[in-house]
Amino acid sequence: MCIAKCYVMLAPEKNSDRGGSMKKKLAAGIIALLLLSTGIVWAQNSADPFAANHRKGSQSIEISPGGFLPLFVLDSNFAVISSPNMSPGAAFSVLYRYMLGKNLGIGGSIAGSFVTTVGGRTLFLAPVCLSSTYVFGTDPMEFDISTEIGMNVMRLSGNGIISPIAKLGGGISRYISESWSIGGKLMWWFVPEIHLGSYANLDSYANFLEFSIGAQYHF
Amino acid sequence: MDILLFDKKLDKVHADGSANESAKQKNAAISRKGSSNAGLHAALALTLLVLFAGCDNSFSIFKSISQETKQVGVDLFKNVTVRAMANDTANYYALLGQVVWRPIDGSAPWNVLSVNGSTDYFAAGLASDGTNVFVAKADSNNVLKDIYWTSDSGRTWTAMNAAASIGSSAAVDWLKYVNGTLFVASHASGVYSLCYYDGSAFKSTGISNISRPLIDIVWDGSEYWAISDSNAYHGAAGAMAEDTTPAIPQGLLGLATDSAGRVLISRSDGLVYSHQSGVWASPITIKASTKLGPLFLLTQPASAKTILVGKGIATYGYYEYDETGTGVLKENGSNYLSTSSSVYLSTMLSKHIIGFWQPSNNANILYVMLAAGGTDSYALYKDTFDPAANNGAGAWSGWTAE
Repeated sequence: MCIAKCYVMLAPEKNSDRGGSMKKKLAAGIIALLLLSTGIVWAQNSADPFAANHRKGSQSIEISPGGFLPLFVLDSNFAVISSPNMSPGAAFSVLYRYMLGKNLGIGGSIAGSFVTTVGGRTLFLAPVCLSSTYVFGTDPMEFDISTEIGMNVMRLSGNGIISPIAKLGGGISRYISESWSIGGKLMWWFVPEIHLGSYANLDSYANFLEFSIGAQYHF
Repeated sequence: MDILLFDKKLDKVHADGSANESAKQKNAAISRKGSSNAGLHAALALTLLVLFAGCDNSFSIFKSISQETKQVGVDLFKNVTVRAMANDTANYYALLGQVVWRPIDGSAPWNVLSVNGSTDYFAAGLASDGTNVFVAKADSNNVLKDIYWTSDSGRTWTAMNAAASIGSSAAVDWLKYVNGTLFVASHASGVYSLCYYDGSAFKSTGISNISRPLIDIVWDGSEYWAISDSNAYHGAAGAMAEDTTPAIPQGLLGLATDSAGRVLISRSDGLVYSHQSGVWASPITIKASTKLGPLFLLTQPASAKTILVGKGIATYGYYEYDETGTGVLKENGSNYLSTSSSVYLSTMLSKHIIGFWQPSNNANILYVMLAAGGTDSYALYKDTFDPAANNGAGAWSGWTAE
């Protein structure tokens, strides 16, 4: 009331103009504040918009179909078997990840893959692994390096073998929303075939490359 | 006051009752959870047991694959069943839905054989004596039209007027030429019969209107032996009679004979019955309680006494049984005919053995006829015996797709 009177006393002829200007300034200030706060929020998001996915306790499930390439096989003396006789096949994996912190996650995976042989047979592999993953990157891209170890069931011509398995690889993915990211990965599969006792000479060590695209759901 | 006290007691009883009920429910839930966990553990244990039981320490997956050879056969034999084979002096013949043939020397590829001037026919049977070739032609309902024979590799054909004596509604199951005589197994109206050609007409062998299908016929040097899937029969061509010994309902599967006059019959219980000089010997246990299949007595290498026995199922293929001494059973191609088990597995696996066949003029060649429908693989493989290999002891080359 007093302020209003002062304004009236100082410039009675422009009361209406001054009032309008004030309102404009006030509105501009509010808008500026809003923009600033929005900017701050945007800036924060820009720093790590998907931070919630990189906190301890964050989880994700990744489904990855792709190809499966036989690389080489070593015999029990670690010499390369000249004719691995396998053709490229396909692989499918499901990976669960639990984040221990911003960059480190652990989890497990189950996968299935097959390759065909020159004789017309089909080799099936079905590993179940524990995994550890190091995740890094900046919005919206994410990179990961992961290792997996576990057990692998192989079937060929009705014969089966359970063997250990180790995988090493990495991937790249891009967030398309807070919950979903898509990407691709390469995994090296090291598949030792271990035989016991007098059959130890049958040991061999196969190497495959899995290349896949994947979709990852974060929750 | 008393009433109040009673009410309180009653409330307490109710409360206790509720508590008990709650506890019971909790216990039941725990019990359910426990049994659920036990079930889960049992399922897990069973799964692991099955997985480990399926493991074979002596089988190397990657070594087996590395020993494979690429099989490139003729498309004619892909996803089909080869039901019989025959030869004359210049050609091999194979029975599919039609008869296909090729020169023995490989100078031309397999092709459909024109029978009596036509390549548009259904062939129900094929046989030969090494010079003449016999083909049973049927209509689209598998009803016999006639049996034709040729002595000049298909250039000219002679009709045998078979339908007149076998039956105008009969369907031919197979032809076989044994000891100079052509036999025809047929069925009509649900009954099965075996006829033979006496030079002028087809006549009954004595096996007629039986209820079970006929499998095969052989000559042991003094009489013919035939089996249905349930009974054995033997005797002269026109007087074959039932033998009671190896009979088993729907369990006779294979028949073979050797040059010494021994007759072998395989059964669905894993036994092979052996008959020689009028006496049945103790049956050979190939694999106890296991369904067997067709039989073949391998004559090479001459030092070995090997019986090839088709498998009933168990992913099909065949056993190799060495009769020397107490007998040794080889499975999965680990001996004799295959250069490696991977060759055997990549050629025989999941295929039903129809039979083994050797040309009448070459004991160093062996064919295996297979039912390969749906396998995306071949139905005819050849194995060649090299007498000079293995330091003169001889060795088979391994199966190669025809």
